Amino acid sequence: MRSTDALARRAVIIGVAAHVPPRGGPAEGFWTTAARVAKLACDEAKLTASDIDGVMFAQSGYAGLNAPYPTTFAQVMGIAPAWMEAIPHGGQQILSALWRARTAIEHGMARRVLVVACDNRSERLQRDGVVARIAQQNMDGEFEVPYGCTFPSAMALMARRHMIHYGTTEEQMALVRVHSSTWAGMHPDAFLRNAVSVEDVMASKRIASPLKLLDMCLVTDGAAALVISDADDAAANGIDGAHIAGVGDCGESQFVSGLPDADEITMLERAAGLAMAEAELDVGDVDVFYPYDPSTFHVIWAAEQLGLCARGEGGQYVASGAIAPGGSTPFNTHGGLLGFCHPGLPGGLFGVVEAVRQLRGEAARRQVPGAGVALVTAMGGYMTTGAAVLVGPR
Amino acid sequence: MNSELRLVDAGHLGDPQRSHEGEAFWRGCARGEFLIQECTSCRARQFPWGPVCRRCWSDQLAAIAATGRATLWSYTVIDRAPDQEFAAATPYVVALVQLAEGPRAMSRLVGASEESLRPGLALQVAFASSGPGETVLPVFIVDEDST
Repeated sequence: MRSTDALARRAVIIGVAAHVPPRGGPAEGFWTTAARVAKLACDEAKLTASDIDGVMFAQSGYAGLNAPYPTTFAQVMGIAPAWMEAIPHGGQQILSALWRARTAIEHGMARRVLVVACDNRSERLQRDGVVARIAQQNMDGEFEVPYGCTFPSAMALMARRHMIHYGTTEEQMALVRVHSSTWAGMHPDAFLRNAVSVEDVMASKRIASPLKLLDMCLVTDGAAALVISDADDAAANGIDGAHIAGVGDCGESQFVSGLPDADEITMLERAAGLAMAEAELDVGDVDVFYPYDPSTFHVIWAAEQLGLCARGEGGQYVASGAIAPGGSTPFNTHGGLLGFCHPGLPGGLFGVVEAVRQLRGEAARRQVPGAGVALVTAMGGYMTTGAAVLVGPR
Repeated sequence: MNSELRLVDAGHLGDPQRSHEGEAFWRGCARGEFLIQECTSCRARQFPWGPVCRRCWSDQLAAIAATGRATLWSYTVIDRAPDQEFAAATPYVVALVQLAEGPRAMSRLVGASEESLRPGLALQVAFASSGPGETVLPVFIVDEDST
């Protein structure tokens, strides 16, 4: 029986899972991956099909076969949900989906929501296909695509503008990769675990100047899942979940030509500001950060927009080692999109999965001592929109 | 097409997905004009084209011919192209240019060496033909007169 006492409930994350198919391993079907990751998250939450009454499923463009609707996924899993929603895109949208799942819990529309995102774009399209597909999907087909702009080059245009405006250097961007690779090397499931040096990044093949191959995120397969429930319901089952304490979104632009200058960009500042205001916390209260990192440059952008340093000082901030293991503000302790994996739609969820593990104290060698509050961000559009979720305090 | 319009070779350009709202823009290109929109209500100028003024939402938008003068705002030299046709044109330069009239536009920068690329570089519009569809597109070249 549904209770309609709005906002009497508190949404918590009670199960998380990430699945990264190993490099060079056998191909795995889309629905096999989706089912595997869903079961892992539900196992943590001590729930099975009959316990799940809410489903959110990301609409992968690469699934093939049956359309990747929430109902298709529910059918695969033998779930008959009372509440369901499609997550239409990756990037910012995948993270703001947590807001809607939380709302469903708070308003009694569902008691336990299973959120799943799965993509096998590397398997189905290969890297060339992914580059072409993303260019067609996300860009202005009338005024941008004809010039041969790609997703990396759209990101490169903003990186270059930051260099012009503030003197940010390619070596500073390379240091983001160096620190990220150190974190990834400590995660047994990370897709790329090798150490990377500044020289490696600088010598890697140019993709779209100033960005080079090792400045760019991975293109992999993979999936992530979360189970979100009401805190009291979870407690009754002996589970102490991670509180979704604040959420925020900002759609600054869809296309890169519509963005303001480097000192006026605010998509992450506004999204994170909303999340922190809701939780009545500020950036100094955050123990660990999960900024979206489609390129090394975006981590520099995030450091500035999240208020960890002044505008224009993001390059120096990441170069200082603050984001590295042992640093004052650890970033992407799983390795991020640069080292952990980036299958597409699920991207932003891997930060949430790792944040919850950190808050539980389950991050093994990567554990940030005393981690109680985590800030996760994601970006969408042409890396022109932002979303933020603040997880904790417990 | 204006028979006197001289097209430059810009390397491969894709066919634009021409929208209803942008139709007058493309007709202008075929005449050798880079048209932007000016709001007849609040006088804001905008590019790319849209159905309403992005400042005041007026739908009374006039097409005005830009001078074609611009400066280089940001740029990227692309080695990794979206498909094989673009790959044949690599390395090519995609730029965000600041039009003299105010708005910014994405475009192709043609004929400039990588070493010469710098912010604020004076540019001038030129026109080139796209791939199979032969739409005339604006591109930019270095404005030698102002350097």
